[in-house]
Amino acid sequence: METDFQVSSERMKSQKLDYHTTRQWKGQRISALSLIFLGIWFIVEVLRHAQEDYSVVLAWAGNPWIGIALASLIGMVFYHSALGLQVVVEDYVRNSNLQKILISQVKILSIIMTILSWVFIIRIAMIANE
Amino acid sequence: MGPKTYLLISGWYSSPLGIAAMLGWAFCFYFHLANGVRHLFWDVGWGFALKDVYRSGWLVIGFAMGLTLLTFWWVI
Repeated sequence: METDFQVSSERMKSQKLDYHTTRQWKGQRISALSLIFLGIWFIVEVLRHAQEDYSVVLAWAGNPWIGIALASLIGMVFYHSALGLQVVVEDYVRNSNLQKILISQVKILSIIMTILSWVFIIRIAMIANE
Repeated sequence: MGPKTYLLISGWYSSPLGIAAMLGWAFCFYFHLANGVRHLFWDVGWGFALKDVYRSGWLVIGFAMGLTLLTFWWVI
């Protein structure tokens, strides 16, 4: 039996599905899998610490292992969201020039946000361990 | 930035509006998570029949609402 899925995968093959697209498809799923764990962990931790004092939360965020987890979460979140937003732009923006501009803006903004967040994680760790 | 700023922000989050915003955020996260897992099942070729698509769609909504209620119950 031929399903719609098989038809569309045949169509994709005929349109020269390139290496880049495959890598992005895989990247989206690998980041999704890691975010199942990192995301649930983060939401539980945020809610757990929501009612606590500055010093308690600072000590939490200043722990090197927590910092590593937060930094990986940030990296995965912005990688995952950049790929997701790129798909939205590809699907809904017809004008190919505008499409290219928007995709590059998404990438630039994601990189800036990632680096900024990493800087803040390191700064918090430095303040906590003074 | 420091203890003073923290007190201000945590005050916002502890207000009824802040708690509502946090729970709304939690719902969005749970919904996206469940729907993402649904897509991962589709990726391995599972659940493509129209009946299954509808069922998993409602399951996603139920899962997100259930976890949000659980979170609400836990936080309050």
